[in-house]
Amino acid sequence: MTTQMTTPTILRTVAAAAVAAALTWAASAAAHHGWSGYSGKAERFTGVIRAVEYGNPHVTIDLEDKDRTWHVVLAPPSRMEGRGLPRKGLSVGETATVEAERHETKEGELRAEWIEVGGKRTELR
Amino acid sequence: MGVGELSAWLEGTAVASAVREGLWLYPAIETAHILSVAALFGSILLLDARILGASPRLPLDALARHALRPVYVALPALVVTGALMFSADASALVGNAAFRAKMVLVPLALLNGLALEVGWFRSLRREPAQHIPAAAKAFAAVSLALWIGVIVCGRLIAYV
Repeated sequence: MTTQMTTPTILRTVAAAAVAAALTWAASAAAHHGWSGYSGKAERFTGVIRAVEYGNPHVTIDLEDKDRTWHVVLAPPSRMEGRGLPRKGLSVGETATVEAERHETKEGELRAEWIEVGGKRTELR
Repeated sequence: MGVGELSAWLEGTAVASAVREGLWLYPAIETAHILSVAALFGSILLLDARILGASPRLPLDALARHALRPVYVALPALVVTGALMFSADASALVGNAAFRAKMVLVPLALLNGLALEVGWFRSLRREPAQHIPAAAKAFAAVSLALWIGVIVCGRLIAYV
């Protein structure tokens, strides 16, 4: 008996490994995961929008709550528009709620999972 | 004018706001930047690998002429697309550690490539059967390390 693998056996092994890897990846994409560099713990912040930068690479807002003014990173403009939150949907002076994670080193920076403004929630991930 | 003022001015130009505000312009520029670095690194990888000893029967001159051709398009394209993306977010980027490291590594990689070309490559190309000196191999290895470093830093800009 030889233990040497034939070419079809190797191909089948590679194909099985690729399928397993793809399934693992798909499963992990469905599960919750944090943003790289952020805390991994989602918290809610409600405050007043003090500034809006609707631009690439990411839309950002300054959100003032009872504690401080947070710099909140939202999503690229193309995704924001696609999800139904265009430039005119974010105005200074409006109240907004975000579910967001704190940046691990940049004090006061948040990365938002979703934003709720004018009674409408927009997923940003 | 300091770096801070310069980047603030750049960010305020019409080109910068067009890049920042267009819905699909920024991702398009980003894609062109990635295509260009893929072409550049692919070319350099083939050539450096040959200098390091892979496929020794491939004629160096013919390989260089074929493999380096994309670089003449890719390098200017990288500079232009990179400058456009930089302009959109300049004042944040000048403080970004990964961006700063990349801006040190890019000139080093270019100088290293130039030194390799002037120091050894021209004579090596004329004499196909010539033995490749260890110093030339060292420059080829450093070239690969520097360009990999450039790509790593480029990607890390979004994560630091």
